[in-house]
Amino acid sequence: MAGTRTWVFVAVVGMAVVLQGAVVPHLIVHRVKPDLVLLTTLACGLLYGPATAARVGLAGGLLQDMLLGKYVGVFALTRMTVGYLAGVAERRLYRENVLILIAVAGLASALTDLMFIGLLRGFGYPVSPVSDARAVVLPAALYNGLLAPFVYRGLHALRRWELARREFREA
Amino acid sequence: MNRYRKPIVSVLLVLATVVLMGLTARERERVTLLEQQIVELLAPVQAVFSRAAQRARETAADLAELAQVRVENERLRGRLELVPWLEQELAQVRAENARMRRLLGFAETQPFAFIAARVIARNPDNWFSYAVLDKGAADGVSRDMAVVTYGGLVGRVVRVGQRTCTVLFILDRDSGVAVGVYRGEASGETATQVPVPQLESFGVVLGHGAQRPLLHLRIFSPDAAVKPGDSVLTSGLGGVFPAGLYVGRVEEVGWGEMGLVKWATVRPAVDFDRLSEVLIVTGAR
Repeated sequence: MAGTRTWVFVAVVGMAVVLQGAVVPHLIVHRVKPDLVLLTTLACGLLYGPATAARVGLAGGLLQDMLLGKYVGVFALTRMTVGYLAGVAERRLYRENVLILIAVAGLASALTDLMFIGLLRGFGYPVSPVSDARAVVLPAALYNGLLAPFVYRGLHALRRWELARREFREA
Repeated sequence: MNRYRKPIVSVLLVLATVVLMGLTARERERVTLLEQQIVELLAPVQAVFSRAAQRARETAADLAELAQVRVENERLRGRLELVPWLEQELAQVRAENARMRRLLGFAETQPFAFIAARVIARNPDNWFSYAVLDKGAADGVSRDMAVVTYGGLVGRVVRVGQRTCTVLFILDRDSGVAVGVYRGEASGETATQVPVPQLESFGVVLGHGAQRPLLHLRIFSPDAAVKPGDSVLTSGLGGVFPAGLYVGRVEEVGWGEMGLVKWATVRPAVDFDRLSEVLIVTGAR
């Protein structure tokens, strides 16, 4: 029987995937979309550690893979890896600093996209590391970086609620 | 004697009033001075009390009305708050109506049978270019059906579910469309009606990805006189898209690195960022 925490993560990941498909396509800036699933995974890494973030990234990525129906696993693998790395780096980061958060999210976004390019090229999809870095990777990194504090705040509030609930139960 | 004084006075008073009543019962030409003075004296006092009473009655009526006005005001304010939302809703419905009319007008003039569908989701990433439509196998949709709008060609169905299908846009890097380049102007609405004058060359149109909404046209015959402004229509040679669907217009023509392959940049006729209703081509009519 899954605990409340698991169901909360299922809801968060499900909501991120739904919003990514239904709402995010209307938020195109400079021809790029932000990546809510990645930002959720990243925030989970910074708040809950590598194992949880890797699971969240895997679940969210797999859902996106299923929606695409092609190159299945490419979203799951990239998000899981970045979530895990964010979780590992969490202890060395002063994540309450907004600028650090923006920089970390920008780097994570760029890393995800570069992994994406590598994987897609490996499967014969015509992406270019040079022109796509300019057209997609850099603007997406900036956009995701700027949105990261908002997603982090949302999940931070969820974390605080969870801790308060646990304390109340223990008391 | 004192014993009968009160009853006698009372009877006299009653008699006096009865006599007075009798005397004043008829129409009189003049009233007495006493009566006049009493009326004159009481009139201003009565006027003050009358005004006060009238004002009190009006105030009471106003208060009752105020309570009603407040309720009415709250109700109207509630409705007023809906006005901007209703105006927005109306504008959206009008725009949708215009699009649907145009789409219907387009469908009626084409030699194809269509299924109308609505875009319910777009690709969530920055790499692929596809959309999920609200029609699937249960509605008669099958794989590789062409998807168009009144502007022109949108793409082809690559995945079919029971109630939904996925359409790969011609912008996607995995997309390739066999086309013909024609001299002369065409549009999505006229391409299949107006005989386009002259075929310049066959070719294939490839997507660049959503970031670059221009298509890459590989021209098969290097000596073809393709030039900016030429129309690009599906040729029907690939076996997937029926011939005559408008794709876009040539913007730029150039040569490949070795000078052997001729290419062109094509601006698609469809605005993929604002796509909401489409038509799935099910076959010839």
